[in-house]
Amino acid sequence: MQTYILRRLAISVPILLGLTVVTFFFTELMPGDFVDGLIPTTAIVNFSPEQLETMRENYGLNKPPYLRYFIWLRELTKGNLGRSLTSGAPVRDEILERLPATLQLTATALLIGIFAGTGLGIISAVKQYSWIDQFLTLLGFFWISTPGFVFAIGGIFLFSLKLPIFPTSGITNYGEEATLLTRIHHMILPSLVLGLGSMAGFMRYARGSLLDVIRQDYITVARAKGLAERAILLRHALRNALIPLITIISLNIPFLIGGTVIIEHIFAWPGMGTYSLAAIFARDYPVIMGVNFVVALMVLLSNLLADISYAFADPRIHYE
Amino acid sequence: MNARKVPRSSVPFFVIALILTLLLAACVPVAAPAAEAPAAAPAAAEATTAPEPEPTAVPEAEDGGTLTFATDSPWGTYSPFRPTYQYGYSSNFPAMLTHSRLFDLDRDNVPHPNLALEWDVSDDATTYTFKLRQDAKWHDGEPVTARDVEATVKFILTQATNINPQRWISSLKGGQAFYDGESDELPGVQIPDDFTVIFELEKPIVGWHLSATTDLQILPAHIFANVAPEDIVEHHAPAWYTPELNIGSGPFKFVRAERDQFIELVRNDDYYGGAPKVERIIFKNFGAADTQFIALQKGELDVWKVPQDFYEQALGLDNVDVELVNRNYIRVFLIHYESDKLSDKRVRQALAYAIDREGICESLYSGLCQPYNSYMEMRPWLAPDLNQYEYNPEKAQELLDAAIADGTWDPNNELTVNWYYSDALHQDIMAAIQQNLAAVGVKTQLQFLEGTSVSAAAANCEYDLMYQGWGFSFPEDYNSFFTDADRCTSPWGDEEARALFNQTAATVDEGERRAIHNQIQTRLNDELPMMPFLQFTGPLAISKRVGGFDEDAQWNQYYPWNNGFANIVNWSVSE
Repeated sequence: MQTYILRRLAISVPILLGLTVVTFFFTELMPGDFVDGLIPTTAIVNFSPEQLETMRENYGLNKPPYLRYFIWLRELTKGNLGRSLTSGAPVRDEILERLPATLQLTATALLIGIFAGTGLGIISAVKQYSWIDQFLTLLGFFWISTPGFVFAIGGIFLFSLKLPIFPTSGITNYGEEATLLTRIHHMILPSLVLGLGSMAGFMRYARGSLLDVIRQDYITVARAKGLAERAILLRHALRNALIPLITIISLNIPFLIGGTVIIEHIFAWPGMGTYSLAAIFARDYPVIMGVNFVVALMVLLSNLLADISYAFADPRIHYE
Repeated sequence: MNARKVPRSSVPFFVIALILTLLLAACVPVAAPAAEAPAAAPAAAEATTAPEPEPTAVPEAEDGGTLTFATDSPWGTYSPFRPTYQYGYSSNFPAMLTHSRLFDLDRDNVPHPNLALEWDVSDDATTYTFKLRQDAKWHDGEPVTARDVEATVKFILTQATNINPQRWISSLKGGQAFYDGESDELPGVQIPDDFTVIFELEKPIVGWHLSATTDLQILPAHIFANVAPEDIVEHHAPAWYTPELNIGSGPFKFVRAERDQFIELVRNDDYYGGAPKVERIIFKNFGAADTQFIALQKGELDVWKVPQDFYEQALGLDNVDVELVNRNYIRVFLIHYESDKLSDKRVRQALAYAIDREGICESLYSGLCQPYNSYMEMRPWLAPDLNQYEYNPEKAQELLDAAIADGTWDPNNELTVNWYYSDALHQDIMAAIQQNLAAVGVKTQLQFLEGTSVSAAAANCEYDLMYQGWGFSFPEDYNSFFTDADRCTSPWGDEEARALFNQTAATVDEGERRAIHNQIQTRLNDELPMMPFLQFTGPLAISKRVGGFDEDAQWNQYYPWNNGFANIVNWSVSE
C-alpha cells in the first residue's frame, strides 16, 4: 500500500505540471490581458498604444509567455504563488483566506448529496417500479439536467423573497460577529443548491448499485437461509452496494468545485469561486494559475484518498 | 436480532432528519440580515457620548439609519490611492464619499467649490491659483492644507504608483522631469501659504483646472509622508482596508471592509459641508445581478444602477422609484474617411440615413438611448439645428446612387465594421446595422476586436467603420483628444475642424469657446468624418425609503465613470 501511495504521488507530479502548462497557455489564449481588463471599455480610446505598452511593462506582461511560465514555475518550487496583479497581495495568502469558505460550502453540499442521495436511492431501489421510485427517478433527472444557477435564482426567489427565511446572499450578516448559527443560516441555500446535482447522481448510483447487488448469488443464498428481507438489505446488500459510491464521490469533487464558481458568484459567497471568477474577468494571471493549481492538487489528492478508502472498504482490493 | 435490525435500518434516515432539523433549527433564531446591522449602535454611541472639546458641528441626527448600495464593481480596483486616474475609476464610489476633490461638477459641467473655494485663471491660461477652504479637516482631525494637495500631485506623478496621469505629466511645469525621476522638484506646484495652491503649466491650456483636478481625490500628506508609493502599490490591498490609512476629508469615514463582502462607512460629523443625515453607508456585495434585483425587491438594497436587462422589471416594483439619468456618454462610428471607399461625404451621409438608430434604441436598448448627432456629448454644449439624420433608406439610396454615378462608390465594396464590446447585445446591434446597410446595398463584414487590438487597429486605421464610445468631463478635453495625437481617424484629419479646435484651446472666454464648438459641430455634422450614433440614459432604482434624492443627486452620475452622488449628505432613510 505504501509503495502504491508513493507511486501515485510520484505520478501526480507530472500530471500537476501538465495541468499548469495547460492552464497557463489556455489563459494566454483568452482574448485580452490584465491591462485590457483594467481599463473600462468606455476609456480605452483615451489610451495610446505606447501608454498601454508601458503599463504592460510595469506588470511584467511584456515578457514572452513561456518565460513568464518558467518564472511562475521557479517561484512555485519556492512555495511562492506570486502576487495578485489586482490587489498586490500574495496569491497564497488570498487563497488560504478563501479556501475555508469554499471547503465549507462544498463539504456541506457533498454531505447533503451523499446522505440525501443515497437515502433516496435506497428507497428507490427497495420500492423498485413503485410510484415513489418513478417519482424519484423523474425528480433525479430533473435535478441532474437543470443547471445549478436556475435552482440558485429560483431558491433565492422562493426562500428569500417570497418566503423570507434565508438571506439573499453573503456568508454572514455584516456588522455582526460570524457565529456558527448565522453561518449555517447563510449556508443552507447555496449548499442545498450545490448539493442538488450531486444528490441526484448519488441517488441514481445507489439505486442501480443496490439493485445489482440484490441480484447476486449470495443474496439469493441469504434469502434461502430464511433471513428477513430487511436484514438482507442492510447487512449484506447495502454495504457492498455502497462501495462503488466511493469512486463516484471522488469523481464528484471536481464538479462540485467547478459548480461553486457560479454558485458563489450568485450568492456572493466569498470563496475561491468568487475569487477565481473575478480573476478570470480581470485576467489576473497569478491568481488564475494559483487557484487552478490548488484545485488540481485537491482533486488529485481526493482521487488518491478515494482509491485508498476503496481498499479499506473492499478487502478484495489490494494495491501493489 | 430483530430488535437490533429496526434501529439500524433507520440510521440513514435519522442522519438526514437530524441534519435537516439542525439546519432548520439553525435558521430560526437569526433575525433578518442586512439593513439593521447592530454595528450601527457602537458608532452611534461613540458619536453621541464622546464629549469632544469641539461642540461646533452638532449633527442633525434626526434621521440616522443605514443606506445600502450594491458593489458590482471589481473590488481589486477600489482604492483612493489610485485616485480615479486613468483606470479603476468606475469602482471609486466609496472613495468619492470618503475623500474630497477640489471641485465637483454639476450636470451642466459647471464646477462647484469643494475643497477649493475660489480659483483664478491667468489671462494666458498658464497659471491656476486655488484658494482652499480653511475649515476642512481630515478624518483624524488634522487640517487639510495646500501641502496635502501638493503631496497628492507628487504622489500621482510618481512613476512607481503606475498611475501615469498624462494630463499632469505633460502639462505641469517640470511634470515630465519629475515623472522621469530626473528631478525631485516640481516647479509646477507652488504653495505660498497653507491654503493657496498655484499650478503653473508649460503652455496655455484653457480649462486645464477642470479636466485635471475634478476627479483627483486629495490624499492626506501626514499619513503618506513616510509611506513609499511602491509599498502602497505592492501592498495596497490591506492598506485600503485599514481605517488608519484610509483617511479622507469627505462626508463619510471609512470604518472597515471585508474584501468581496462589504465596505462600511460612517458619517463624518465634522464634515465641512455639514454632517450627513444618514448614519452609515454599506456597500455590499449582493452577488449576481439577479440576486441584486431580488435584494432590491426585498428592500435590502437601497440604490441600484439598474442593468438594462432589468429595467422593465424594475419599473414594476412598488418599493422603488426608477430615475433616468442622461449620461455624458455617446457611441460613435469612427469612419476611415481617407480610404477610397469612404472619401465621398455623400456615402458617409448615406450610411447615417440607412441605419435605424431609433429602432435599435427601442428594440435592443429598451428605449434607454437616443440617436445623437454630435461628438459633443455634453448637452448644454450641443449645437442647435444639427441635421438629425433620421432613418431614411430612400434618401440613403439616392445618395449612394449619386456617388455611384460619380464613380466614388462601388456597389461591390465591402465595409469592415469593428466593435469591441464583448456582450451579446452588441452582437445583436451589429447584426441590425448589417441588415440596415444591406437593405441599401452596402455589404459589410462584422469583426469583433478585443482590447489591445482596438488601439492597434485605431492607430493603424485598419477598419472602415469602428464602433466605440466616449465621454468627457469637459468640452476642453476635446482639444487634446482631437488635435494632439497623430491619429488617422476622424475628425483629426479635417484641417478646418482641427484649426477650430486649436482656436478653442486658446480662447479663455467660455461664450466664445462655445461659439467655436458650435461651428465645429455644424461642420462635422455635415462632413461626417465620424458618425455620432447614440447617447445613453442610465436607469437608477432608489428605494422609496430614501429621502432627499433629487435632480442634484445626479450630478456625478452624469459622467459615465463617476459613481458618486453629489448631495448624498442630504439624503435620509426612513423605516
